[in-house]
Amino acid sequence: MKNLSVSMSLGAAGLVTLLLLPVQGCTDLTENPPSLIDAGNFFHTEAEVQAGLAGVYAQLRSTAPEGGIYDANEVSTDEIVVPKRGPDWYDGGQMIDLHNQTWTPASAGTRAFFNGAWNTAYTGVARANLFLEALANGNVANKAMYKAEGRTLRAFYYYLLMDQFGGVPLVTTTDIALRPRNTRREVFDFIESELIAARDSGLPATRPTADNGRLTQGAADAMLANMYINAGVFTKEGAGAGGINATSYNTCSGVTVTGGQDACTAAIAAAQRVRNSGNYALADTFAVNFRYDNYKSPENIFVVKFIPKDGLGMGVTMAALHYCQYAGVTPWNGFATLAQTFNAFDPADKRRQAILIGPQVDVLTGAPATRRQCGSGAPLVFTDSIGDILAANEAEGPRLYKWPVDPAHVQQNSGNDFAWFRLGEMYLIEAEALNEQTSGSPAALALLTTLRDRNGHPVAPALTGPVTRAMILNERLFELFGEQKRRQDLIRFGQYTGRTDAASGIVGGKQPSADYYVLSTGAVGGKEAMESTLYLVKRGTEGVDVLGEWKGLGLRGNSSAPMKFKCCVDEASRLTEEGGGFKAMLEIALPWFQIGSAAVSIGIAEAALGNAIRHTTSARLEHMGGSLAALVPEIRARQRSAGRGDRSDRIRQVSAGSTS
Amino acid sequence: MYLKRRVGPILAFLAVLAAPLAAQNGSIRGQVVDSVTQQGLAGATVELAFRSAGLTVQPGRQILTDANGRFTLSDVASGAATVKVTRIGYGPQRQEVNVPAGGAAEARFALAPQASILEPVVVTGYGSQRREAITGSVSTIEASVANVGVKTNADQLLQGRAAGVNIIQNSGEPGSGAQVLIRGGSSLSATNAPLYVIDGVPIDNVATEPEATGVGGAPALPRNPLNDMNPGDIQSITVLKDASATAIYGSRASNGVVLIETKRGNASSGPTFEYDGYVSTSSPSRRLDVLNGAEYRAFVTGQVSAFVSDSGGFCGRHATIAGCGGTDTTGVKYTDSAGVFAGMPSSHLNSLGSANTDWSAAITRSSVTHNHNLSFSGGTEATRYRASMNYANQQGVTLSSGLERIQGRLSATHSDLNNRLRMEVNVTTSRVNNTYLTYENNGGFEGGVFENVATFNPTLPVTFSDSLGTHFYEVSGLSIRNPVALARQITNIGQTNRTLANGTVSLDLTPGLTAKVTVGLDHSGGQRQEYYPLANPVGQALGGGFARQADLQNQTQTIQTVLNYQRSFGGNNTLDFLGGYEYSKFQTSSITATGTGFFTDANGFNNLNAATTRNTFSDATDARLASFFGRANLGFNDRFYVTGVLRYDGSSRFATGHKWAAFPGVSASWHLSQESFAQSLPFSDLKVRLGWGLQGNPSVDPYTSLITLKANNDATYPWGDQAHGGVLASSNGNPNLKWEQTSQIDGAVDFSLMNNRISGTVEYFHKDTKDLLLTIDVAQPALQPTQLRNVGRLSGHGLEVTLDALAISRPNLTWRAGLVLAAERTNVKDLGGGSINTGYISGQGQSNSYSQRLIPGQPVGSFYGPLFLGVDSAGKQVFACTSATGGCVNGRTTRGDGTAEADYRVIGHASPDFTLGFHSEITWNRFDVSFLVRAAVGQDVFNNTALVYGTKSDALSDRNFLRSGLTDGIGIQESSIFSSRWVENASFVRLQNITVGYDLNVPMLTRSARSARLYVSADNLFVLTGYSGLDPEVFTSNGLATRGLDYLTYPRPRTITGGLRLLF
Repeated sequence: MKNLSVSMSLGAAGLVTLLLLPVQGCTDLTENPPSLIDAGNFFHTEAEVQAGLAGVYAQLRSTAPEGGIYDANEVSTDEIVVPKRGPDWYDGGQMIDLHNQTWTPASAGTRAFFNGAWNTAYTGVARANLFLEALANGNVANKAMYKAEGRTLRAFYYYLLMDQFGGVPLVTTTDIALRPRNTRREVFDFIESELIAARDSGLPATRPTADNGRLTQGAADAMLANMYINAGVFTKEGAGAGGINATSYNTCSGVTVTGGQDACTAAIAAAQRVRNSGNYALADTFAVNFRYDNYKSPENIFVVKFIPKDGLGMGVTMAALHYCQYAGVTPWNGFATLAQTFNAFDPADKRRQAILIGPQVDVLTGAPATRRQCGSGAPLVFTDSIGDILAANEAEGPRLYKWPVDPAHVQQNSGNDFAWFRLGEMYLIEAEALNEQTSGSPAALALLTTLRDRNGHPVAPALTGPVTRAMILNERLFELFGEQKRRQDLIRFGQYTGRTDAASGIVGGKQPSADYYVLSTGAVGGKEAMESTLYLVKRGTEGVDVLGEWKGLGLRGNSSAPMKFKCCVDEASRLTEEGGGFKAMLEIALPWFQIGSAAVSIGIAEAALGNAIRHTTSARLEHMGGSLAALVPEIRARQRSAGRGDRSDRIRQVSAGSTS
Repeated sequence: MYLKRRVGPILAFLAVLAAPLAAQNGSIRGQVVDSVTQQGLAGATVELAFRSAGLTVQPGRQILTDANGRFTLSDVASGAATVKVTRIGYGPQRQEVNVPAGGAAEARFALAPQASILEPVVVTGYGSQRREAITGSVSTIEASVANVGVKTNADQLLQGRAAGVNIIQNSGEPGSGAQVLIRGGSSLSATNAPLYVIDGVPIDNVATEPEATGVGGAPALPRNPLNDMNPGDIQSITVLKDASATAIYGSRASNGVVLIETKRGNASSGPTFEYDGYVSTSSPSRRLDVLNGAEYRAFVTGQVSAFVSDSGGFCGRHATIAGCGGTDTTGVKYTDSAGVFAGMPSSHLNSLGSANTDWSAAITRSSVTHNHNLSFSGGTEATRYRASMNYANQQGVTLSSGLERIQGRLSATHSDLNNRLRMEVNVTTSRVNNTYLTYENNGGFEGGVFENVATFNPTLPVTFSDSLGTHFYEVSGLSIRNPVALARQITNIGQTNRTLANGTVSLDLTPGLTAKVTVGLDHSGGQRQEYYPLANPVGQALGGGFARQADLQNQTQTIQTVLNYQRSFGGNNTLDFLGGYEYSKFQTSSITATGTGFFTDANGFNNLNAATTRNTFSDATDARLASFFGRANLGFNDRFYVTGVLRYDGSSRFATGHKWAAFPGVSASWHLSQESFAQSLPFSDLKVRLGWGLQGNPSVDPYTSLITLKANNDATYPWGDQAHGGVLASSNGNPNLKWEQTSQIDGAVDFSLMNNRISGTVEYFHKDTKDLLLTIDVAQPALQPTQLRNVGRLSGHGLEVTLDALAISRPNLTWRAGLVLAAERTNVKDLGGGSINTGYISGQGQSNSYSQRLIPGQPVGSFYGPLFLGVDSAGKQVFACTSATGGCVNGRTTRGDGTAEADYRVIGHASPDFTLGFHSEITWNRFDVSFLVRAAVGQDVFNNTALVYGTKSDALSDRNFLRSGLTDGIGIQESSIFSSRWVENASFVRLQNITVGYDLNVPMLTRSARSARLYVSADNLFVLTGYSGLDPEVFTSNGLATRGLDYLTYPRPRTITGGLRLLF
């Protein structure tokens, strides 16, 4: 009995201890992540600061091809279209939505691309904010430079937001909160001041090769130049009075930026700072700016850096190339180029070689490529047009192939850098701003000529003056095709929403913007063509197909289009009495049509005048060494008088001159 | 000396406690028999009921009857004693016995069989309770009844047997996981899996094997972590459903609790040796119905003729157009006002071969499974043991899939100090070898086996021969792979070693007061090995051979200390108080290494050094949970029972200041049948219950509340040509992150009729979850686009009915039948403003499309999309519309895509209106027949497989499609667009299992065996359903809280089993 109670009591004592011990010991629930880093306990050494900065840089990868930002900048314009090919690429209609600009707040394109673009850019801002906040509390070597890099990157992410979304909330702290929008002007001013501050207090002028790809003063200036040339858009809120003009050019002239400067003047100054810094030069060949070794290009100013490693490389070619033309990798055969865009290039323009068309080869091996099944299919020939945006075959449409694949690629990862800003664009910005200051500026023409000439290795025949806005927009297309500038340019030039795809032969692409069509039919019981009835038919009505642009000879000032009708029209949509169509046409439509015809006539005449002036000023008589205008007094005099007066005067005078 | 003086008083105190042991004793002898057959009943529990006066005898002492139903309770204090006998499947009985001092009293108990086969003592949290004292909602399943047919894990024992427990096996893959929803679940983003407690120790039900890489999409869902448990070792499963029952598990209980008790040694019938084994054969119950070679060939040639005819017509109208001049106009593709060309260009003829391959058949097989359990148990009354071994080998019904399990288990109990000190040790250790088929559950449109079964051209052969030998036939340059080659050539295997161990010491400090300490350890180590060889195009595409090895270690340590005080007072009143502390620590670490670029397939995954590119990743997390809990159960006069529970839980996973929370529960029951006014009612037992409780859900990843930086590839950036390692914030953190809380009210009536021949429960519950953990889009700028926040509310309610009947009870014939029925609906109340799109649609051309939306006011699992009206004469799908978007005319439009989203609506509900389980067991002489039928009514399933692979435009990419696409009238250029067309009613009735057994007349065969049983069993013999996919029970995880998505699942097998059980 004694033994029993002793052993029992020991057991009980042990139990009591066990019951009490953990109560005291194990209520601490503080978390100490073993494989993560506490943000508050970091950025103590230069290496840690560099790691934090690398994370801010790394978000750049999501801004370059491809992703929401790239797709919004390209697919919504006339540079890229992504047709549905068989079962592929439909994706809930998101690509069509984006290309045809039919997006609404909840539509497929918005969800996929604009949400993505918003988050991508703002994640960059948030990473920069976290980095800058932590950096402010520590002290490491070269702190000023790291701070300047962080600020420049943040300014760039805000630049993307301002470009795509206008006035966005400006936030420089790390707390998450729903905030009101700032005005676009406030965002513009913030970016401008940040870039100037970073440039002047920490960014180096150049980088050693080992740090190639990191930010320099040139990057800040290039971004500023771009902001200034876009100031007519970037400082304004939406459409309407005082806002952005959707149908005509939005000039930098008259917009005041830092120091009370005119934005055009500031654009010229910023572009010149880059051009004259001595750190950049035009590359002798156009292609060197885009190749896998384009870090050697003297022209690239601000790049997204890619290397051929898993997850760190560029893969934009995957979206464009056909499944069977990249040995060892199966591209996705999506992105195509519009025929109208391809055809806009001068066939002699070497820059057009970045577009693949016609019979294709494997981009690595050079072996002839076939359609599927690869190797045994018919030869792969890219067409210039796309028959139907919703029913394309695998070979339809030319392809953008500006960044050729890297021979050392790792799967789809190539080492080509993507230049957000390169020297070529500085020439274009300066020329455009000069042209805004002095229309037809010879200095602007000289810049464009230098750019085409590329140090005596011309990419295209020299341009003939005088410089016009249209010429600059075209030159930007030729030079910067695929480099995410087109959307911005079209908005600045007032042409973003006005595009149609008809010239590309696309069915189901972006349509002329008519919402309703007036149909003329033979009247019920009518015997002559004059006895017609008019109906009003809404676009999209079942059985009504608009088959693209009418390519007939004659005036194209209205948006006539061949149409196909399969079904019946509702009685409720009849516009006139039975047989009253012709009368209505004469009485109602004809007066308006006359005005339209007159307007078109004036437009043609004005274009003819422009061409005549260009011809007389630029065409040179070889044997006499002067231009037509300089040598023939009569022409000179007509031309002078054509420069005065209103438009109709000018036209009258020139036509009088040519008949006399 | 100092020590002795301090210890002295404690010893003296304990000696006083021990003193009553010396009272004068007698014994009780007797027999327990079945009142119908008058046969002795082995394994009946004989116990001394509580005595009201004088705590002179240990209450609750229990012994079991021997093989003949005999028992002897010795060492009982003399005088009047109440003996209570209970046995599973029989009504309890009490008898007053007068124990003579130093002598023996005789007692005979004839127990009447009852409808429900339920243990009289119910395992509840941290202890057990008498069934009549239970006030919460508890379902119990006896493993011996449920474990028929091929059961490879514990979940399967529950299917169709517990009301309100809905289990959907992910697929027919051996060892596939399951979605266990108790009362519909209570969460959206956090887990809806219940808490599993094995032998009193909560286990962390996480994946034990590393995930694979996906080839073109997310890898197949992880396998069931409970695969390491041998169902043959399970004694019983108790499901705690309502909040008052689960509140003792507090923060982890909002999805219900599944308590698993394993088998222990049994001394009553001497050493026992048992063999239980079966062999079964399985074949897929349904296969993907794609075009065969001849049909595909005919389809392609027909389409090409249509195209040639249209292009010929076009060239007639436009002779000058390029391509029209020559004789061959088949490549021309222009359009004019006559419209778009029909069909496919003639180049598609090139894709046709001369073979006729049934790819579905080529990757499936009749498989064999065998399972062997060997156990022996025995011991003395004080020391008992049970040891068991299990070997299971399950072949999948597709090539290259299977599961092999080797498992051993030891259980030992020992009591000392006259049964006042009890010790128990359970150790299970297992090894599971998994062989995985390469396929993806969602997303991908290349690479996986089932995708390619659906799409691989049936006119091509499986293999071909040339001068170098026989090779798999592959199509180059496409993301289409030979599925047989994928299955045969790609290695994807995994192994898990898991040890579950727990030890318990309990000591009766004073009569009625018991202290218990439990220590639990759960360690699992899982490996995954994959090799994608050079010989296979997937291996080529991954970079010239791809090898991967991954290792995952999980460890959970738990310590529980519990004090339990039980006593009776004032006659029939009882008090049961329990208080305790529990601490768990969870640790996970993983390491993964990959190699790409091999010059030979000779090494497989074994020599990563042979790769030209190597990558290594590792990760580690830990979490802790500390809890204090108490429960009081008061019984008044065997009529009223009241239970109050309070748990105070602290989890490291939540934000500072929000780590601790209290979870109370209150419930009461009233035994109406004990009341005099109820005596005239026809009930042999009638009880009403009411309960309320609050539970939590702590399933968030560790460190979610913190802003942490992580070094990874996404943060890496090259400066120059060197990658520069960087960090980025892996989450936005949330300093306010706290528990998801569910409050639940439960009301029930338990009844028995006709002398317990019919019994049942009708139960209603209502639950509300608030502070729902949701990953929501946050205002920018933010370090990540989303943040985990406590926003939103869910509300659910439901009705559960359980009925059991002993329809026939005769000496040679018994028939038991049981029915469980549950109707439940969980509605979204609030999502912090707005709705959430989910249920991302898998497949090519479906990026950024979704099938479900969580909408306040609508049930979880609501399908959302355009309403399909039919097909127009041009072969376009027509959808209903109301707005002007997408060319809506007369309420009809052909745009069903995202640009017409304004016209989307709710087009189905994934949750069934009700589920049903009906089981029946008939015993006739030596024969027994049992079956289980399960049904679900009113559920909708999105047939994602048909959407993507049932559209004939697949042929434009030279891919096969489902036969249903041939005759649907839809044009070849028409996209596959999600709509109500693909949301099908998937109500079903399934014969889950039917078993016929025969008890061999053992003495005729051998003298040593005690019993032997032979049985034949069939699983999944038939399914009655109108659903057109492979199986109406589906699970594809594709976004937040998705249900009812069916995408290329592993086919479910039909299985025939023959088994033998031998007892020596």
